[in-house]
Amino acid sequence: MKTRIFTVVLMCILVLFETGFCQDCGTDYKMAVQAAKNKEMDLSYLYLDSFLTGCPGSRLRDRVLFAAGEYNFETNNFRQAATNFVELIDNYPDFKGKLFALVYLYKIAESAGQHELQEKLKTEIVTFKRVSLLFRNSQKYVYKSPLLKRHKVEYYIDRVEFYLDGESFAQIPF
Amino acid sequence: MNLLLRYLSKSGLRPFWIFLLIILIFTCAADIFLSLSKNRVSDLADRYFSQKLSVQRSFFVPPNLIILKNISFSQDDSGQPRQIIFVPTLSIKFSLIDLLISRQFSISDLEFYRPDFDYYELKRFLNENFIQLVDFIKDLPLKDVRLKIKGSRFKNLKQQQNPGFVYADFFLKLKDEFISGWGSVRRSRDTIFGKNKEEAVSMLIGPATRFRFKAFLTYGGCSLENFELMRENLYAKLWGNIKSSVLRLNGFVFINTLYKDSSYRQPDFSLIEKLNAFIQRMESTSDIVGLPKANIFILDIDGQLNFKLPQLSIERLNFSFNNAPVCIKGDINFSDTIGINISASSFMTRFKDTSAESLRRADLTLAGTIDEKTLRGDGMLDFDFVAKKKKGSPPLDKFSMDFKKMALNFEQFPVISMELGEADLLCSTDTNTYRINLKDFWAESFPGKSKFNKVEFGSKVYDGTMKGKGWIDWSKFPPKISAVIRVKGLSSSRLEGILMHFSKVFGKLSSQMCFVNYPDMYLRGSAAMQKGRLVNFEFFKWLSDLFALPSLKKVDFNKARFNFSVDSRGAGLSKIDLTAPEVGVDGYFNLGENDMVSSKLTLTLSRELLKESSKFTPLLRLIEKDIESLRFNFQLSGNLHRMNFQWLKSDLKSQLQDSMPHFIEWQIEKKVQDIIDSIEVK
Repeated sequence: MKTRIFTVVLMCILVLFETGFCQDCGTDYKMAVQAAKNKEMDLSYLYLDSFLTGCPGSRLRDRVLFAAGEYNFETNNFRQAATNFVELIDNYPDFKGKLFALVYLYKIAESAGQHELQEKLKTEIVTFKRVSLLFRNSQKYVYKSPLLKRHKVEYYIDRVEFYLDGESFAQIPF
Repeated sequence: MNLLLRYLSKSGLRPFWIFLLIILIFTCAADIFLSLSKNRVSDLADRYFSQKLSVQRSFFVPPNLIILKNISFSQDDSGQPRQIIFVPTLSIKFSLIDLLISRQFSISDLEFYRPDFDYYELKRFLNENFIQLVDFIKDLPLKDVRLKIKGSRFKNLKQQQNPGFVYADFFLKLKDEFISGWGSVRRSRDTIFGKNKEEAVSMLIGPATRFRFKAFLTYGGCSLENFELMRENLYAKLWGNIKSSVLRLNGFVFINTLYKDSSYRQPDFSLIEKLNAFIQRMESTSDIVGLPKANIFILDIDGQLNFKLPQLSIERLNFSFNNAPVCIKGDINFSDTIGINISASSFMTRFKDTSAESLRRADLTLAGTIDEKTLRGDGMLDFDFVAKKKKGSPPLDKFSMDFKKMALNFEQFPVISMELGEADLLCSTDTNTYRINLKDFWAESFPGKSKFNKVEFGSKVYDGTMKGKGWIDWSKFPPKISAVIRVKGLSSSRLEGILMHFSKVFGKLSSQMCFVNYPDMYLRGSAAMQKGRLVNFEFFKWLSDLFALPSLKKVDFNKARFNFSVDSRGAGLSKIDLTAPEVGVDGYFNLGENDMVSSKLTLTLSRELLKESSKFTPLLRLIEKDIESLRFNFQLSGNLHRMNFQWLKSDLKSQLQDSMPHFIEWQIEKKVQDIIDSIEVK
């Protein structure tokens, strides 16, 4: 009987702990998005950072890594941004915003003067999508990040154009 | 007579006359003795050599000079004597003090005047009798001696065309343990003048090569203090030592390969003639560049050679060749024909700001023989390129040539000819390996008027032939090369080693191309084929599978032409023009860095061909019936293995777009994209 009570109590503790933990992760993510909506980017990043530290196995981790990288890029913390994007690309190859993570890394390599790395990333970006343009002139893809930034890419036959919230972010001719 | 004797006895000159008489008697006695002992000299030589030594006349000139006239040393093994050496005059000076005090005959001076050597016979004699010759010299009554060979002439009687001589002067001084010497060598060639070719004149070629050396004998060997070799375009200084059979050598060499030897008439003995020859020589060599403009620097020579005659082992020969370190090892066998087996390696990463900057290492292995002036053998030449290349460098990883039955001939020097029985060429880049086999390759290099060397070459390439001309500029290292090459009658399918796609092209190919390696390396040219066939050619096969057009799997064409270029930026085909009854292709296709494609092509498909596929039925319905063929202009881009394409604007496209609603356009677009995505997934 004592063993049964002990087992039930232990299970309750574990379930409560797990639920509490998940609730924290979910909350952190929601709070980060909410803060981004309120244009409080620094606050948003605090929630994202808390998420990344406390939720290693969460299914939202890919989005949060992207958003954290995005914030670090904007605040010129390129080293940390690169760490976020590399972790994202390595661990989540099918992530919807992977192409945009690549272009962020491309821009970081450009600012660091790493031309060789830049060339490799250019090849990755150019070959990321194989396009056929029969009647259209370009193919477009859009990704909205947790920081509510609208990333758009347009594949032309001889170049790729990236836009961030409607403004030109990068243009890669090939 | 009595009066004369009386006069002599009366005069005060009696002692002088007596002395003169004694000298006369002594001279006559010595002469008689020498003429009697002429055969002794021959006998002495017979002890060592099978060849015959004969002396025609000998004189004694007081007080210590012996003159031998017309000395001949000849081979007489087949009934016909072949002269090896002929010395018109040999003067021997001996030490009178040694003779009088020690009663020992020791030679102090040996002077050979204008000896004639048959180069071929002498070489054979030295090969066969080297040890005996050393023993013979050891047994000669030499102590401190001076050897002078003046105006010696070497002639190769085997050489029928442009017979020429090598003139050499040599002076050697041996005193106690010190040896010193100097001399010079120069070449001449008989040139025939006059309308009726009546006058053959010996023309000297270029200036003399001078040398001097100093050495001293040590216990069991010799220390070479200094050996210098000098010419207008060459300076070499070597030093080292010989101990037992091992020679250790250090030194450096400067060479100016741009220097051109000019011919000038051998001066006569008159002063005017000599002055004229000097002026002629100065005029003819006024445009030459001397040693200060040397373009080859061989520095830090460090070698160890082991003489185990007739074999010479190169245990180590290291030096820097124009700042590129070179290591040579191997053996040379001095038998009847000289056998060589050597390997040489060079590390070239030190070349900066040159086209060879990306060269990492070069290796040569060669096994063969040197017979007269021809080097024959088999070998391999390898070039490795650095993996991490600078932008704009050719994307080469490795180039190697495996050659068999090579014959490098210097008989007509400065014209150099080369033949290769077979050569396998392999060239690999980051992504591909290219192979080609050449048979019966030949090349001839002619010295040009300026710094250029002209090279003509040719070969069989599978069932076709290749011929070309090239120019090599040696003023820089690595040399600047430009060449024009023509290929004829080659079955294109045999070129699958160069490009796999050629295995699907059948027909005879002819091409002409141009190669330049400076300032940027490129290969450009054009190729043409008549009445050929494409079988399962990748692009047409893809179209055939995608649009159900089986005829495209085998396309007979009337003509196909294209221009091609390969340079540091990539490779490309331009002005592509393929004309077949049902199909036509024109445009360009360029492949750049990282296999990036840039291409615009126009594909023409006949209405008859399109009828084969039900997929084109709606399309054919939309276009006018009097149009016999449809032209599709499209652009390709992206990576070679994941190409993007766009159907470019054309009348056909506009006509189609006008006649179909947008949602159908969208549907077609989606279907094609789905097909491409499905191929991607596969």
